[in-house]
Amino acid sequence: MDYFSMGGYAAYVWPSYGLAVLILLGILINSWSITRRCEADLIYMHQNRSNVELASVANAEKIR
Amino acid sequence: MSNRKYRVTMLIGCLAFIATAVALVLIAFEDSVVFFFTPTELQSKQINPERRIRVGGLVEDGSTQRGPSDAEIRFKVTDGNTSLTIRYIGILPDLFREGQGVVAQGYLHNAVFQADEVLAKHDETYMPRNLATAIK
Amino acid sequence: MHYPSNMNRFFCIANAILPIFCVVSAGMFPVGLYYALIESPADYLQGDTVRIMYVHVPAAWGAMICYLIMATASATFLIWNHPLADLVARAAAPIGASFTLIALVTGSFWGQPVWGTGWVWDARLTSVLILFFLYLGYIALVNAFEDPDRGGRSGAVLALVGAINVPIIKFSVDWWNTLHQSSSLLRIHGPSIAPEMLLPLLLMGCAYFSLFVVMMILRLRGLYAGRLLRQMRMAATSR
Repeated sequence: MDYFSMGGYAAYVWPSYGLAVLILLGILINSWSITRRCEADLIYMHQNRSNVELASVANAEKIR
Repeated sequence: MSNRKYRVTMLIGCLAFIATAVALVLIAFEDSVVFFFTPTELQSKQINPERRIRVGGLVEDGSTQRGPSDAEIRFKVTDGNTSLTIRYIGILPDLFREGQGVVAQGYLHNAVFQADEVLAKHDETYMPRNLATAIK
Repeated sequence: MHYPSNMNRFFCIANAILPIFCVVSAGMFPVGLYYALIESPADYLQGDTVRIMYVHVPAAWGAMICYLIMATASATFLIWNHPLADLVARAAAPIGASFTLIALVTGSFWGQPVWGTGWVWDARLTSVLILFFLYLGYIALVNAFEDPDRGGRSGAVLALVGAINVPIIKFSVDWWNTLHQSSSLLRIHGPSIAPEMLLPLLLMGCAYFSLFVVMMILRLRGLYAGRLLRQMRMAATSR
Protein backbone atom coordinates (compact mmCIF):
# COMPACT_ATOMS: atom_id res chain seq x y z
CA MET A 1 0.00 0.00 0.00
CA ASP A 2 2.91 2.27 0.83
CA TYR A 3 4.12 1.85 -2.74
CA PHE A 4 1.09 3.55 -4.27
CA SER A 5 1.58 6.69 -2.19
CA MET A 6 4.80 7.37 -4.17
CA GLY A 7 6.43 8.99 -1.17
CA GLY A 8 3.58 11.49 -0.91
CA TYR A 9 3.68 12.44 -4.59
CA ALA A 10 0.93 10.07 -5.77
CA ALA A 11 -1.20 13.02 -6.91
CA TYR A 12 1.49 13.95 -9.45
CA VAL A 13 3.05 10.62 -10.50
CA TRP A 14 -0.11 8.61 -11.21
CA PRO A 15 -1.98 11.27 -13.23
CA SER A 16 1.17 11.75 -15.36
CA TYR A 17 1.33 8.07 -16.21
CA GLY A 18 -2.44 7.86 -16.65
CA LEU A 19 -2.60 10.78 -19.07
CA ALA A 20 0.49 9.65 -21.01
CA VAL A 21 -1.04 6.17 -21.52
CA LEU A 22 -4.43 7.71 -22.39
CA ILE A 23 -2.98 10.03 -25.06
CA LEU A 24 -0.79 7.25 -26.54
CA LEU A 25 -3.75 4.86 -26.67
CA GLY A 26 -5.88 7.59 -28.24
CA ILE A 27 -3.48 8.32 -31.08
CA LEU A 28 -2.83 4.58 -31.63
CA ILE A 29 -6.55 3.80 -31.91
CA ASN A 30 -6.99 6.85 -34.16
CA SER A 31 -4.14 5.67 -36.45
CA TRP A 32 -5.56 2.18 -36.64
CA SER A 33 -9.20 3.16 -37.25
CA ILE A 34 -8.34 5.64 -40.04
CA THR A 35 -6.34 2.95 -41.83
CA ARG A 36 -9.00 0.30 -41.39
CA ARG A 37 -11.77 2.58 -42.66
CA CYS A 38 -9.83 3.82 -45.71
CA GLU A 39 -8.61 0.37 -46.69
CA ALA A 40 -12.11 -1.11 -46.27
CA ASP A 41 -13.52 1.66 -48.51
CA LEU A 42 -10.79 1.02 -51.05
CA ILE A 43 -11.49 -2.70 -51.18
CA TYR A 44 -15.23 -1.97 -51.49
CA MET A 45 -14.55 0.46 -54.35
CA HIS A 46 -12.36 -2.07 -56.10
CA GLN A 47 -15.04 -4.78 -55.89
CA ASN A 48 -17.70 -2.29 -56.90
CA ARG A 49 -15.72 -1.06 -59.87
CA SER A 50 -15.03 -4.54 -61.15
CA ASN A 51 -18.76 -5.32 -60.81
CA VAL A 52 -19.61 -2.23 -62.85
CA GLU A 53 -17.03 -3.16 -65.44
CA LEU A 54 -18.22 -6.78 -65.55
CA ALA A 55 -21.79 -5.58 -65.95
CA SER A 56 -20.85 -3.32 -68.82
CA VAL A 57 -18.93 -6.16 -70.47
CA ALA A 58 -21.92 -8.47 -70.00
CA ASN A 59 -24.28 -5.84 -71.42
CA ALA A 60 -22.02 -5.35 -74.42
CA GLU A 61 -22.09 -9.07 -75.07
CA LYS A 62 -25.88 -9.18 -74.76
CA ILE A 63 -26.25 -6.38 -77.25
CA ARG A 64 -23.97 -8.11 -79.65
CA MET B 1 16.70 20.41 -63.58
CA SER B 2 17.33 24.15 -63.46
CA ASN B 3 13.80 24.49 -62.12
CA ARG B 4 14.70 22.22 -59.23
CA LYS B 5 17.90 24.13 -58.55
CA TYR B 6 15.87 27.34 -58.46
CA ARG B 7 13.45 25.81 -55.98
CA VAL B 8 16.29 24.62 -53.70
CA THR B 9 17.99 28.02 -53.83
CA MET B 10 14.73 29.85 -53.09
CA LEU B 11 13.94 27.50 -50.22
CA ILE B 12 17.35 27.82 -48.58
CA GLY B 13 17.38 31.58 -49.18
CA CYS B 14 13.95 32.13 -47.62
CA LEU B 15 14.71 29.90 -44.63
CA ALA B 16 18.07 31.61 -44.02
CA PHE B 17 16.31 34.99 -44.18
CA ILE B 18 13.61 33.95 -41.69
CA ALA B 19 16.16 32.29 -39.38
CA THR B 20 18.22 35.49 -39.33
CA ALA B 21 15.14 37.56 -38.59
CA VAL B 22 14.14 35.26 -35.71
CA ALA B 23 17.70 35.31 -34.33
CA LEU B 24 17.81 39.12 -34.44
CA VAL B 25 14.45 39.40 -32.67
CA LEU B 26 15.55 36.95 -29.96
CA ILE B 27 18.83 38.82 -29.43
CA ALA B 28 17.06 42.20 -29.33
CA PHE B 29 14.53 41.03 -26.75
CA GLU B 30 16.99 38.99 -24.70
CA ASP B 31 15.88 40.67 -21.46
CA SER B 32 12.35 39.38 -22.06
CA VAL B 33 13.42 35.92 -23.21
CA VAL B 34 15.51 35.17 -20.12
CA PHE B 35 13.41 33.85 -17.25
CA PHE B 36 15.60 35.43 -14.56
CA PHE B 37 18.70 37.55 -14.06
CA THR B 38 21.75 36.42 -12.11
CA PRO B 39 22.95 38.69 -9.26
CA THR B 40 25.94 39.72 -11.40
CA GLU B 41 23.68 40.70 -14.30
CA LEU B 42 21.52 42.72 -11.91
CA GLN B 43 24.54 44.65 -10.66
CA SER B 44 25.39 45.92 -14.13
CA LYS B 45 21.76 46.90 -14.87
CA GLN B 46 19.84 49.87 -13.58
CA ILE B 47 16.62 48.20 -12.49
CA ASN B 48 13.62 50.33 -11.66
CA PRO B 49 12.51 49.37 -8.11
CA GLU B 50 8.92 49.45 -9.40
CA ARG B 51 9.64 46.74 -11.95
CA ARG B 52 8.80 43.16 -11.01
CA ILE B 53 11.78 40.98 -11.92
CA ARG B 54 13.13 37.52 -11.23
CA VAL B 55 16.54 36.67 -9.86
CA GLY B 56 18.05 33.20 -9.87
CA GLY B 57 21.08 31.34 -8.60
CA LEU B 58 22.20 28.91 -5.93
CA VAL B 59 21.16 29.35 -2.30
CA GLU B 60 24.40 30.15 -0.48
CA ASP B 61 25.41 27.56 2.12
CA GLY B 62 24.59 28.65 5.66
CA SER B 63 22.86 31.86 4.56
CA THR B 64 19.29 30.87 5.42
CA GLN B 65 17.88 32.54 8.51
CA ARG B 66 14.42 33.06 9.94
CA GLY B 67 13.28 36.65 10.31
CA PRO B 68 11.66 38.30 13.34
CA SER B 69 8.31 36.75 12.43
CA ASP B 70 8.40 33.02 11.83
CA ALA B 71 7.07 33.26 8.27
CA GLU B 72 9.81 35.62 7.14
CA ILE B 73 12.92 34.05 5.73
CA ARG B 74 16.18 35.54 4.49
CA PHE B 75 18.76 33.83 2.33
CA LYS B 76 21.49 34.72 -0.11
CA VAL B 77 21.46 33.77 -3.77
CA THR B 78 24.80 33.51 -5.53
CA ASP B 79 26.05 32.90 -9.06
CA GLY B 80 29.62 32.29 -7.94
CA ASN B 81 30.73 35.92 -8.25
CA THR B 82 28.05 38.06 -6.65
CA SER B 83 25.46 37.26 -4.03
CA LEU B 84 22.20 38.99 -3.26
CA THR B 85 20.11 38.90 -0.08
CA ILE B 86 16.50 37.84 -0.58
CA ARG B 87 13.66 38.46 1.84
CA TYR B 88 10.60 36.31 1.48
CA ILE B 89 7.40 35.80 3.45
CA GLY B 90 5.56 32.63 2.55
CA ILE B 91 5.89 28.91 2.01
CA LEU B 92 9.03 27.63 0.31
CA PRO B 93 8.80 24.83 -2.30
CA ASP B 94 9.70 21.27 -1.20
CA LEU B 95 12.97 21.30 -3.05
CA PHE B 96 14.32 24.50 -1.49
CA ARG B 97 17.78 23.53 -0.18
CA GLU B 98 21.02 25.34 0.51
CA GLY B 99 23.39 24.71 -2.39
CA GLN B 100 20.47 24.16 -4.80
CA GLY B 101 19.03 26.44 -7.46
CA VAL B 102 16.22 28.88 -6.80
CA VAL B 103 14.36 31.57 -8.75
CA ALA B 104 12.73 34.43 -6.80
CA GLN B 105 10.27 36.95 -8.19
CA GLY B 106 9.78 40.41 -6.71
CA TYR B 107 11.32 43.87 -6.43
CA LEU B 108 14.86 45.06 -5.85
CA HIS B 109 15.05 47.72 -3.08
CA ASN B 110 18.46 49.03 -1.96
CA ALA B 111 20.41 45.86 -2.75
CA VAL B 112 17.85 43.66 -0.95
CA PHE B 113 15.44 41.63 -3.03
CA GLN B 114 11.91 41.52 -1.65
CA ALA B 115 10.44 38.33 -3.10
CA ASP B 116 6.76 37.47 -3.32
CA GLU B 117 7.29 34.11 -5.03
CA VAL B 118 10.10 31.57 -4.75
CA LEU B 119 10.46 28.64 -7.17
CA ALA B 120 12.96 25.80 -6.85
CA LYS B 121 15.22 25.20 -9.87
CA HIS B 122 16.73 21.75 -9.84
CA ASP B 123 19.80 20.87 -11.87
CA GLU B 124 20.22 18.06 -14.39
CA THR B 125 21.71 15.59 -11.87
CA TYR B 126 19.65 12.55 -10.96
CA MET B 127 20.85 9.90 -8.54
CA PRO B 128 19.48 7.55 -5.90
CA ARG B 129 19.58 8.51 -2.21
CA ASN B 130 22.21 5.98 -1.13
CA LEU B 131 24.60 7.21 -3.82
CA ALA B 132 24.02 10.84 -2.79
CA THR B 133 24.85 10.05 0.87
CA ALA B 134 27.90 8.05 -0.20
CA ILE B 135 29.27 11.04 -2.12
CA LYS B 136 28.79 13.33 0.88
CA MET C 1 -1.71 12.29 -59.65
CA HIS C 2 0.55 9.48 -60.70
CA TYR C 3 2.09 7.08 -58.21
CA PRO C 4 5.46 5.61 -59.08
CA SER C 5 5.87 1.86 -58.69
CA ASN C 6 8.35 2.20 -55.82
CA MET C 7 5.31 3.16 -53.70
CA ASN C 8 4.29 -0.49 -53.74
CA ARG C 9 7.79 -1.60 -52.84
CA PHE C 10 7.76 0.79 -49.89
CA PHE C 11 4.52 -0.62 -48.55
CA CYS C 12 5.79 -4.20 -49.01
CA ILE C 13 8.75 -3.39 -46.73
CA ALA C 14 6.57 -1.38 -44.32
CA ASN C 15 4.05 -4.20 -43.99
CA ALA C 16 6.86 -6.69 -43.40
CA ILE C 17 8.36 -4.72 -40.50
CA LEU C 18 4.96 -3.73 -39.00
CA PRO C 19 4.41 -6.98 -37.02
CA ILE C 20 8.00 -6.87 -35.74
CA PHE C 21 7.50 -3.39 -34.30
CA CYS C 22 4.08 -4.35 -32.92
CA VAL C 23 5.69 -7.15 -30.94
CA VAL C 24 8.65 -4.99 -29.83
CA SER C 25 6.29 -2.22 -28.72
CA ALA C 26 3.99 -4.61 -26.85
CA GLY C 27 7.06 -6.06 -25.11
CA MET C 28 8.95 -2.84 -24.39
CA PHE C 29 6.14 -0.94 -22.66
CA PRO C 30 5.61 -3.47 -19.81
CA VAL C 31 9.38 -3.84 -19.32
CA GLY C 32 9.94 -0.07 -19.43
CA LEU C 33 7.04 0.63 -17.05
CA TYR C 34 8.28 -2.06 -14.66
CA TYR C 35 11.72 -0.45 -14.48
CA ALA C 36 10.23 3.06 -14.36
CA LEU C 37 7.68 2.45 -11.60
CA ILE C 38 9.08 -0.44 -9.54
CA GLU C 39 12.70 -1.33 -10.17
CA SER C 40 14.30 2.15 -10.30
CA PRO C 41 15.15 4.09 -7.13
CA ALA C 42 13.74 7.43 -5.99
CA ASP C 43 15.87 10.54 -6.54
CA TYR C 44 17.97 11.95 -3.66
CA LEU C 45 16.26 15.36 -3.97
CA GLN C 46 13.04 14.87 -5.92
CA GLY C 47 11.96 11.57 -4.40
CA ASP C 48 9.43 9.61 -6.45
CA THR C 49 8.49 12.57 -8.67
CA VAL C 50 11.56 11.66 -10.74
CA ARG C 51 9.50 8.77 -12.15
CA ILE C 52 7.54 11.32 -14.18
CA MET C 53 10.76 11.79 -16.17
CA TYR C 54 10.36 8.31 -17.70
CA VAL C 55 7.17 9.29 -19.54
CA HIS C 56 8.03 13.00 -19.95
CA VAL C 57 11.48 12.91 -21.55
CA PRO C 58 10.85 10.23 -24.25
CA ALA C 59 7.69 12.14 -25.24
CA ALA C 60 9.75 15.32 -25.59
CA TRP C 61 12.34 13.49 -27.69
CA GLY C 62 9.56 12.08 -29.86
CA ALA C 63 7.99 15.52 -30.24
CA MET C 64 11.22 16.95 -31.65
CA ILE C 65 12.19 13.93 -33.77
CA CYS C 66 8.68 13.88 -35.29
CA TYR C 67 9.08 17.52 -36.24
CA LEU C 68 12.49 16.88 -37.80
CA ILE C 69 10.98 14.02 -39.83
CA MET C 70 8.07 16.26 -40.84
CA ALA C 71 10.39 19.11 -41.89
CA THR C 72 12.74 16.80 -43.83
CA ALA C 73 9.81 15.17 -45.62
CA SER C 74 8.36 18.61 -46.40
CA ALA C 75 11.63 19.77 -47.95
CA THR C 76 11.79 16.54 -49.97
CA PHE C 77 8.24 17.08 -51.17
CA LEU C 78 8.85 20.70 -52.18
CA ILE C 79 12.09 19.94 -54.02
CA TRP C 80 11.56 16.49 -55.55
CA ASN C 81 7.77 16.41 -55.62
CA HIS C 82 7.67 12.88 -54.30
CA PRO C 83 4.11 12.11 -53.06
CA LEU C 84 5.41 9.69 -50.41
CA ALA C 85 7.24 12.59 -48.73
CA ASP C 86 3.94 14.48 -48.41
CA LEU C 87 2.32 11.41 -46.85
CA VAL C 88 5.21 11.02 -44.38
CA ALA C 89 4.85 14.63 -43.24
CA ARG C 90 1.07 14.28 -42.90
CA ALA C 91 1.43 11.01 -40.97
CA ALA C 92 4.05 12.38 -38.55
CA ALA C 93 2.09 15.52 -37.56
CA PRO C 94 -0.69 14.04 -35.36
CA ILE C 95 1.80 11.67 -33.70
CA GLY C 96 4.16 14.57 -32.97
CA ALA C 97 1.28 16.67 -31.64
CA SER C 98 0.34 13.85 -29.25
CA PHE C 99 3.94 13.48 -28.03
CA THR C 100 4.13 17.25 -27.47
CA LEU C 101 0.88 17.18 -25.52
CA ILE C 102 2.22 14.37 -23.31
CA ALA C 103 5.43 16.33 -22.70
CA LEU C 104 3.46 19.47 -21.76
CA VAL C 105 0.95 17.71 -19.49
CA THR C 106 3.42 15.46 -17.65
CA GLY C 107 5.85 18.38 -17.38
CA SER C 108 3.17 20.38 -15.63
CA PHE C 109 2.54 17.53 -13.19
CA TRP C 110 6.29 17.30 -12.58
CA GLY C 111 6.75 21.05 -12.12
CA GLN C 112 4.08 21.44 -9.44
CA PRO C 113 5.86 19.48 -6.70
CA VAL C 114 9.43 20.14 -7.85
CA TRP C 115 9.49 23.80 -8.93
CA GLY C 116 6.43 24.93 -7.04
CA THR C 117 4.54 25.80 -10.22
CA GLY C 118 2.90 23.89 -13.07
CA TRP C 119 3.63 26.46 -15.75
CA VAL C 120 6.02 29.38 -16.34
CA TRP C 121 6.72 31.36 -19.50
CA ASP C 122 10.40 30.46 -19.71
CA ALA C 123 12.11 29.89 -23.06
CA ARG C 124 11.91 26.07 -22.98
CA LEU C 125 8.26 25.76 -21.99
CA THR C 126 7.13 28.53 -24.33
CA SER C 127 9.01 27.12 -27.34
CA VAL C 128 7.49 23.66 -26.74
CA LEU C 129 4.02 25.24 -26.58
CA ILE C 130 4.79 26.92 -29.93
CA LEU C 131 5.80 23.48 -31.28
CA PHE C 132 2.37 22.15 -30.26
CA PHE C 133 0.62 25.01 -32.09
CA LEU C 134 2.83 24.46 -35.16
CA TYR C 135 1.64 20.85 -35.29
CA LEU C 136 -2.00 21.91 -34.94
CA GLY C 137 -1.53 24.64 -37.55
CA TYR C 138 0.05 22.18 -39.98
CA ILE C 139 -2.78 19.66 -39.55
CA ALA C 140 -5.42 22.36 -40.06
CA LEU C 141 -3.63 23.82 -43.09
CA VAL C 142 -3.05 20.59 -45.07
CA ASN C 143 -6.70 19.62 -44.63
CA ALA C 144 -8.03 23.07 -45.54
CA PHE C 145 -7.53 22.57 -49.31
CA GLU C 146 -9.75 20.62 -51.67
CA ASP C 147 -6.68 19.68 -53.72
CA PRO C 148 -4.33 17.54 -51.56
CA ASP C 149 -1.32 18.65 -53.59
CA ARG C 150 -1.89 22.33 -52.80
CA GLY C 151 -2.66 21.49 -49.17
CA GLY C 152 0.55 19.47 -48.89
CA ARG C 153 2.57 22.26 -50.44
CA SER C 154 1.20 24.95 -48.10
CA GLY C 155 1.73 22.69 -45.10
CA ALA C 156 5.27 21.91 -46.21
CA VAL C 157 6.14 25.62 -46.28
CA LEU C 158 4.71 26.07 -42.77
CA ALA C 159 6.58 22.99 -41.51
CA LEU C 160 9.89 24.28 -42.92
CA VAL C 161 9.48 27.78 -41.47
CA GLY C 162 8.54 26.25 -38.10
CA ALA C 163 11.67 24.06 -38.17
CA ILE C 164 13.58 27.09 -36.86
CA ASN C 165 11.80 26.40 -33.56
CA VAL C 166 13.47 22.98 -33.11
CA PRO C 167 17.03 24.21 -32.39
CA ILE C 168 15.49 26.95 -30.24
CA ILE C 169 13.78 24.26 -28.11
CA LYS C 170 16.93 22.16 -27.88
CA PHE C 171 19.32 24.97 -26.98
CA SER C 172 16.91 27.29 -25.09
CA VAL C 173 18.19 25.90 -21.79
CA ASP C 174 21.80 26.73 -22.76
CA TRP C 175 21.26 30.09 -24.50
CA TRP C 176 19.04 31.71 -21.87
CA ASN C 177 18.36 31.47 -18.15
CA THR C 178 15.39 29.15 -17.84
CA LEU C 179 13.59 27.45 -14.97
CA HIS C 180 13.85 24.19 -16.89
CA GLN C 181 17.11 22.35 -16.25
CA SER C 182 19.54 21.57 -19.06
CA SER C 183 19.98 18.23 -20.78
CA SER C 184 21.14 15.35 -18.58
CA LEU C 185 22.15 13.07 -21.42
CA LEU C 186 23.92 15.15 -24.06
CA ARG C 187 26.62 16.75 -21.95
CA ILE C 188 30.32 17.28 -22.52
CA HIS C 189 31.25 15.31 -19.39
CA GLY C 190 28.83 12.45 -20.02
CA PRO C 191 25.32 11.91 -18.66
CA SER C 192 24.60 13.31 -15.19
CA ILE C 193 22.03 10.64 -14.49
CA ALA C 194 22.68 7.51 -12.46
CA PRO C 195 22.78 4.29 -14.56
CA GLU C 196 19.86 2.69 -12.69
CA MET C 197 17.73 5.71 -13.66
CA LEU C 198 19.13 5.97 -17.18
CA LEU C 199 18.04 2.37 -17.92
CA PRO C 200 14.27 2.92 -17.51
CA LEU C 201 14.59 6.18 -19.45
CA LEU C 202 16.21 4.41 -22.42
CA LEU C 203 13.77 1.48 -22.18
CA MET C 204 10.82 3.87 -22.30
CA GLY C 205 12.54 5.69 -25.18
CA CYS C 206 12.68 2.40 -27.14
CA ALA C 207 9.04 1.70 -26.26
CA TYR C 208 7.93 5.13 -27.50
CA PHE C 209 10.03 4.73 -30.65
CA SER C 210 8.64 1.31 -31.58
CA LEU C 211 5.11 2.59 -31.01
CA PHE C 212 5.95 5.57 -33.20
CA VAL C 213 7.03 3.25 -36.05
CA VAL C 214 3.81 1.21 -35.72
CA MET C 215 1.60 4.32 -35.80
CA MET C 216 3.62 5.83 -38.64
CA ILE C 217 3.16 2.75 -40.88
CA LEU C 218 -0.55 2.53 -40.02
CA ARG C 219 -1.13 6.21 -40.81
CA LEU C 220 0.88 6.00 -44.05
CA ARG C 221 -1.24 3.07 -45.19
CA GLY C 222 -4.41 4.93 -44.32
CA LEU C 223 -3.30 8.11 -46.09
CA TYR C 224 -2.22 6.16 -49.17
CA ALA C 225 -5.52 4.29 -49.31
CA GLY C 226 -7.27 7.65 -48.99
CA ARG C 227 -5.30 9.00 -51.95
CA LEU C 228 -6.14 5.98 -54.11
CA LEU C 229 -9.80 6.32 -53.12
CA ARG C 230 -9.81 9.95 -54.15
CA GLN C 231 -8.16 9.08 -57.45
CA MET C 232 -10.77 6.40 -58.16
CA ARG C 233 -13.68 8.67 -57.26
CA MET C 234 -12.35 11.40 -59.53
CA ALA C 235 -11.87 8.92 -62.35
CA ALA C 236 -15.42 7.62 -61.81
CA THR C 237 -17.01 11.10 -61.93
CA SER C 238 -15.00 12.25 -64.94
CA ARG C 239 -15.95 9.16 -66.94
